[in-house]
Formats: sequence, C-alpha cells, structure tokens
Amino acid sequence: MKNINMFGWVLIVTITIIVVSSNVSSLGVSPSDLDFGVMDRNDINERTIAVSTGGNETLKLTFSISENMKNWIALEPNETILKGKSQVRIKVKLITPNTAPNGIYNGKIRVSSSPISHTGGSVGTGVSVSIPVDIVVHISDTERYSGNVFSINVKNPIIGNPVSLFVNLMNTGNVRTKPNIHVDILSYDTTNVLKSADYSDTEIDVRENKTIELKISYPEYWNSGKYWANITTSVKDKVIDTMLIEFKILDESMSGVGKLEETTMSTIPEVTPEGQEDLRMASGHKEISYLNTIIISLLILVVLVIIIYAMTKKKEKNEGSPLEKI
Amino acid sequence: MKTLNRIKNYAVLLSLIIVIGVVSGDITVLQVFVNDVTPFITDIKATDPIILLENSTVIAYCNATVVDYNGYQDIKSVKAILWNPNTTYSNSTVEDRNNFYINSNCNITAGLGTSATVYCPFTIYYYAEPSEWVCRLNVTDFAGLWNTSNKTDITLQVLKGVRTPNLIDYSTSTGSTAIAPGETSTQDVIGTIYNTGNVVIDLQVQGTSTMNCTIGFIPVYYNRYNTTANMSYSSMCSLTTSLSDTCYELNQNFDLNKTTTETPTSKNTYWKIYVPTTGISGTCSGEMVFMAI
Repeated sequence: MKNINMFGWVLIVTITIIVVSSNVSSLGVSPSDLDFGVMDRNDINERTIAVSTGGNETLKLTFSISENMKNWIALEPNETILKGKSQVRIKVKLITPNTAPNGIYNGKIRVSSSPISHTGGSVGTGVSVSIPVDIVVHISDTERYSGNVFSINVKNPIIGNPVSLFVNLMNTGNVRTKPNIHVDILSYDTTNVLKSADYSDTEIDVRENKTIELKISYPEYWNSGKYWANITTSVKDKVIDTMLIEFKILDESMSGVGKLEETTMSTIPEVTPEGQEDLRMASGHKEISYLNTIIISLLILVVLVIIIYAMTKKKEKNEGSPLEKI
Repeated sequence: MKTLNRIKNYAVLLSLIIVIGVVSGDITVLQVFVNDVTPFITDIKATDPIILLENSTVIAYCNATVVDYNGYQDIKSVKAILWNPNTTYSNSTVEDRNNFYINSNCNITAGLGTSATVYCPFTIYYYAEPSEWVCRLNVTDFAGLWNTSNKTDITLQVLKGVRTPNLIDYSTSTGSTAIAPGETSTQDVIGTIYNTGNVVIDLQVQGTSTMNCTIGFIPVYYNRYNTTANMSYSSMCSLTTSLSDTCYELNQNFDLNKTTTETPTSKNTYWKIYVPTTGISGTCSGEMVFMAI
C-alpha cells in the first residue's frame, strides 16, 4: 500500500460501512406510460399514476418533466413523502397549448426517490432510484394559418455587401408557424430574375409580431444601380403578402455619405390571394373615384359662389331701403 | 347453459302445485310448494384498474349479488377466479400468482329474501401479468344447482419496479478498511438489482455528484461498473453524469425479466473505484441514480 504524504498528513481514504436504516432502495410506478389520447388545443385532460414502495424506508419523491412538456403538465402533488410499504397517487394534468401544431407529442415524467435521511457519515456512493413515465398525446384540432405583413424594409447596400431585407409580420393564426419568405431580385426593367432565395427558419408564436432580417448576397459581377426585390410571404403554402420594392446597390463612392438609404414599403391589411384580387379591383376603381371627387368639388364651388352672390345682393338691398324711406 | 337453466326455472315456477284447498268459513287457504331453482349472479363489480404495489401485494375485489328463488339461505357457496384470458385456462385449484387467482370461499353476507351480496377478495402479487383480466364467479346452492357469470376487461396495470442497494459500499471491496490513493479497489462491489414489477427492465445509471471527501474529491467517472464479475478496472464502463452514457450491457442488454415466483428475479452489477493519487484524504461520499427503463 502506498501512503502519499500531502499537506503534512498521511493520506488514506478510509472506507467504512455506512449505517442506514435499510440497505435497499425500492420504488415502483404504475402505469409506466400515460396515453392522453386525442386532444384539441387548449384542452385539458387528467390521468393518475401510482407510486409505491414495498420497502420499509420512508422515501422523498421528486418529479421532473421533460423540457418539451414542462409547460404542459402539472402534477399534484409535485413533491411528496412516501412512507414504507405504501402507495401514493399523483394526478397528472395535461393542458395542450393553444399554439401547438397538430401532431403526436411524446414526453417523460421522471419519478425519483431518495431516502428521507441518510445516517452515518462514511464513504460510498449513495443510490437514488428513478423510473420514467412515458407521456404521449395526439393534438388534432382545426389549424388556422394566417399572418399580417406590416412592413418590408430594404437597406440599400454598398456594392459587395449583401442586401438586407427586414420583414415585419404578425402570426394571426392559431398555431406557431415558420413563414416562408421568397425573394426574387429582378433587373430594373423587371425582365430578368437575377437571383431567388427562400427563408423559413424563424418560428413565430401565435399573435407574436416579429421582424425577420434576411441577407441576400449576390455575385461580384453585379453592378451598382437600381434593382427590384419581389418579396412573397406565405404561411403553410398560403400567400399572405406580395411586394415589389425598388432598391439600389450603391457605388463604393457613396460609402462616404455615411448613411445608407432605405426603402420601406408598408402594408397593413392581411393580404390573401383573394384579398389581392380585391385590392386590384379596388385600385381600378380609384381613378373613377378621383374624377367623381373633382366633379363634386366643382359643383360645391359653384353652389358656394351662387350663395355668396345671392347674399351680397340681399345685403345691398337691405342697406338701400332706409334711404328710400327718407 | 344459462338460458336453459332460466327456462327450467320459469317452467318450475309456472308448475306450481296447489296441494290443498281448504275452505273454512269465509277463509280460503292455499298452500304452495316450489321446486329447487338454480341460483344466478348479477351486478358483478370488480376492482378496475388493479394497481399493483411494488414488491408487495394488493387486495382486488370481485363482488356481486347472487339470487336464489328458494331464498338466499339456499346459497351454499360462491367461488371466484380471476385470470388472464391470454393464458390457457385450467381448472387448477392452485393460484400461480402470475395469471391465475382463486377464491374458493367468497364471503356471503346475510341477504334479504332471495338475494345476497358476495365479497370475493384476491391478494394480487406485484408480478401478476399486465393485461385485461376476467373475473368468473360460480354460485352453488344446497341442491347442487350452480351457475356462473363473468366480468371481463378488468385492467391489471403495468408496474415498473426496481429494488437496488442504497449504497455502493467500497469498503466491501478490500480486505482492509482503506483504499490507498493511486489504487483501485481490488474486488468487485456487488450491487444486486431486483425486478419488483411486472415487466422486464433495463437500467440506466448516472452520477449526480462527485464523491466529496474530507479533503478533496473523487470525480464521478472514477466509479466504474459492468455486468460481468471480475473484470479489470480498465475494461469496465465509467459512470458519467448523463443517463444516456450508460453502457449497452445495462442500457439495452440487462433484460431483467419480471419475477414469476416468490423470489424476485435479480442480476448483479459490479463496481470498482479508483482513488486519485493526490489531494484526497478522509472519508468520501457521493450520489448516483439507478433508473429502471
């Protein structure tokens, strides 16, 4: 046996037998899986698990829920003492979030026990026992995917730098979604699509408003000058907005200006394919309504002139009448 | 069989024999005799689901109302069996505790008129097979007439249970009471795992804290384990802080079968430890988890 002298002491790790009231840990869980069946969103369902021990020792029970279902599951009680040779019932309440897309979800509750107290103070590795309970739930509800694009902003880049687009939108549906933003960069005469790109990495929660920044690089041979960006935003294959925006790739010489120009377009209403049709129709009526406005304005003007003329005449007549009396 | 018995009962009831008709003044006395009729069982209520207690027993009931038109006093006995219909049914009179339970003498309470309540408790062991079970009641009267009735789809729930040592005690691994710094424990420390439920289990292990010593500490991964005895320390699996790092031998290949007899099934795990060469002194203790999966 080697004795190594450190800190002036003889270093020997003493191994002694720990003294505990029982020398085993014993735990059982029934059932070991909970199927919550088919549920709607924002729905509630309850199951029970029985935790038992056939040992004599009193145990402290703790529960941990897998990260993906932490906000879905409530346990009652969520910590308890289990006396020897007994059973305790734990209520497992599952509330499906109103933002979860349809699908089958799996999670776990880990039931852990440890002796209420270890006596003794010697050496060894104390053992706790755990048993997982598998959770499964199938969310099947009417999913509504929709969104509102509030603004699209393009930052004019200095040549060589990527084009930055900022799309501000809100998820107005009832499930979390990753909107798809398709961008076509067009030549200024709009005859050629020079580059296309798709982005769908950002997930937006229900009623959440988010600005998504897209960076679009382009080949070195592109010249400075004016271009168009045709931006189509869709959720779950449903187009909610299309926008054509002019932007410039600035010359190196422009970098001295110190401020990059921005082009911003905003749309407030939610635009669906049908909505776009409505908008096109609305813009066709717009010219007619301008003419109407001008005609009505002219008519009002003529009427006003006549009224003023009539009033003037009346006033003159009133002023003249006393003289006539004299 | 049941239908035939019923028909017979009605026939007997309809063939009431009027033996004597005595007219005495204004009073008419009729005396009626009824033949023996077969008793029958109604309204079976069973414990459902049956939730087992780890490494122990629970009481499950199969209760019912029994009716005998000769009066409840004519009911001689009620026998009940509780069995897993996925297994072959035998007329055994001995419980096997896995798939077949029997109560030969259910408790018949004093009834009213023709009916009585019967209580048939069963002591169910933790290793009873999880399945949809059936309770069958059999009633016999003093005339030797009998009847049966079933209650199906009684869920006997899965119980995942495990019994482990509550300490991996390295003091048993040496002839002396100490492991010198820079040395490994010379002999395996045996951690016996028992299956105390009714399904096969594997194991995962996780060190949840380093072994803190009077001076210094021993890292979790200096604890090593395996399912084969007398392996060299270097060939054994290191304990880590993650359950998913558990070696294949425990995690997937442990396959500790469910218990089928009074003695719980068990398998050993073997443990060794290495004590770092420097900075350690005194007594050391750590924490780990055995998870039954």
